[in-house]
Amino acid sequence: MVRYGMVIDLSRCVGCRACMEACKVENNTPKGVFWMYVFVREEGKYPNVKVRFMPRPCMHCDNPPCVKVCPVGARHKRKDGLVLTDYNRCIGCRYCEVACPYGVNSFNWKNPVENQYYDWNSEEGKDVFGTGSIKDEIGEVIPPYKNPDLEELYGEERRLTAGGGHYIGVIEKCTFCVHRVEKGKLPACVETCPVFALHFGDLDDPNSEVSKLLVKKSWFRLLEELGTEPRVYYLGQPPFTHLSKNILIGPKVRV
Amino acid sequence: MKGEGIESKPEEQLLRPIIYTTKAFYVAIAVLIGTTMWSGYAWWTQLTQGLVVTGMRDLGVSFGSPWGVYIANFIWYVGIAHGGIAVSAGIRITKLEKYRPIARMAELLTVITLLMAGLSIVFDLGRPDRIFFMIIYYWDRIGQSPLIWDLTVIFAYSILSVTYLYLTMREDIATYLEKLPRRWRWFYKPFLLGYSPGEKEKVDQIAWWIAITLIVLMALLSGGVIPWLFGLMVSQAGWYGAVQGPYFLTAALVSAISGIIIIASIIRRLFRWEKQIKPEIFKGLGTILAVLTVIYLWFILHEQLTIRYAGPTTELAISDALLMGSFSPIYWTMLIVGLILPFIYLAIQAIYPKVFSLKGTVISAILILVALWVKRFLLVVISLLYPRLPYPVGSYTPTWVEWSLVLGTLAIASLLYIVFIKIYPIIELKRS
Repeated sequence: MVRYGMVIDLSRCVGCRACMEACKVENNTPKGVFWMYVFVREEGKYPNVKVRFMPRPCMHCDNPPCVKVCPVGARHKRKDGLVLTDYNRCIGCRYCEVACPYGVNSFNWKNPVENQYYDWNSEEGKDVFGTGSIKDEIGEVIPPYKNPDLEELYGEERRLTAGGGHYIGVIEKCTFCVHRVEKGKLPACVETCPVFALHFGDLDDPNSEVSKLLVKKSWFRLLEELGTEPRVYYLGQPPFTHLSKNILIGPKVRV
Repeated sequence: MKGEGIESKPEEQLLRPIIYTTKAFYVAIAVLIGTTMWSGYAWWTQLTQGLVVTGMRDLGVSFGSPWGVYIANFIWYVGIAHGGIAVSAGIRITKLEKYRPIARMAELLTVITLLMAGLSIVFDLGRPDRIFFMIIYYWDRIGQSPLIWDLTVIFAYSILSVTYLYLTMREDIATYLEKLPRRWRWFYKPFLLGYSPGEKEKVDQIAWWIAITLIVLMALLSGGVIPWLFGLMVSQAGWYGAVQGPYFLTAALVSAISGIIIIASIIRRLFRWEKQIKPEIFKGLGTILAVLTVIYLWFILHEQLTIRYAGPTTELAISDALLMGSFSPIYWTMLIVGLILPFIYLAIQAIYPKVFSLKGTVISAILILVALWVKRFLLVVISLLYPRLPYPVGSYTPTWVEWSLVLGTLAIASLLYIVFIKIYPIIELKRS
């Protein structure tokens, strides 16, 4: 049985945030939404300073509090370990967001089409292209936020679970790039990472890269004491105790 | 004067609001419908533009609070509802004749506030068009989701309390039907379906059993399911813990008694029912309110002391925000003006009966009721603004849409209450 998991090597991470960027490009998440987020922490005083980073995807917990509280079963855990949201079923109560200790959920407060980085329906293109909207320039090409790959149904149950920016008023979160994983590819963040800090694979297979890393190095998991059994393992030293004060604020975008 | 003939008999005085319509009634109805329409406009704005028009935002990266005043409003209404029916059932089970005039007021308060609680949840949903999914997938989710437990509770309570209210009203409708002008009787006749004058004993028996059921369920529902919505969330410091059960139950009773005091005083003043609703009722309710409020304060002490003594970091951050941080002005005002001062006043009044004043009791009840709304607001929001992971500290300011919808629930509740009083007698008629 496949059981997907991620291993993040904190000693390798350089805080370039390419994973955040890759995630946004791959999943078409709306403005202000970061399914992958990199915590940054500065320690010490000049000249003895250290900056540390910690990427945070969805933990795809084995005992997921978000799945437990969902009143309609939109949030579900698949047999291969992925915790996904069925965008066709979510009623937008945001209970999963409240129940998740990692803060990985994002809600579509606004119509996601209007909340993309460029409003493809507007006449804004005039400024950029001289005449008409951007539609006139690109013709009938599908705008990036309508990636047909993300509209496919995935998993045994064939549910609409891939990508972001689908409907207004529903919850979305990191999917471990289910649409790529099912085709045998790596999640976008893992694929992009320039320093091989992120690793993805089958935790049940002792010969997989992730399993070998976990045997070789010492690891910890985030907020393990809450009993959520996260499927994301961190190698190296925890960059912060909970709620330490020296956190640099990262992206500060609000819809 | 028109009503002079009726003034003489106290029993018929109870029917006066039904038979005569004053100008104030029309003004009140117009104002309330206007407010409701305004909140309808606010809801339309929210439905068309999305919840972006509210002050709520994502927890964590967007440093917001995913839940806000709608959920606070929900807890507040559910509290009043559960407490209200408990008061009424208590009066009927223990046959407290002195308090009987307020029994129906409490029942009606329960039915209406339950509706408003449900409405608050609908306002909060991102996709209210999919709300029936909660019923379609009911059996899949009942084992796990506290929100589904909530839905069950609200339905069960609604059905039980409506049945209860209706059963206890049947005899009254039969009694006053003859006293009404002929042209209105058609409206009341369907309510008397299958009525026979000898049914009183049977109906009383059924009502008694429903009352017992409601009281027994109360400990598990208001002191269980609703607090479990928060108390079971290990992810949120400040919510998680076993204290929430008794804490919420006390708050429910406190808010319900405050609500009943306020409503009974308004009705008493409005219809000049000084003889029907005696000051002793308010005095008794005030004493119970004092006891329950001090129990509530005792729970607050427990909660804060446990956090501050041991000082676990995430919990402490929340307690700091409450006691000395950005929320401290609201918190201390709520605690001192809203709970401690009214408690002291009510306690003095309970010990020295000479000090009793109706006005003071009602003002205390208003302060307590508002304080409990604020308390629920603080409970919901602060934990969400201080997540466990080191995200930036969040901020939340409700927008005009949220305030309009909260105001809307108050307007609809008042409207329903007034319309009910206009159609049915709010105080049980005395049987001759």
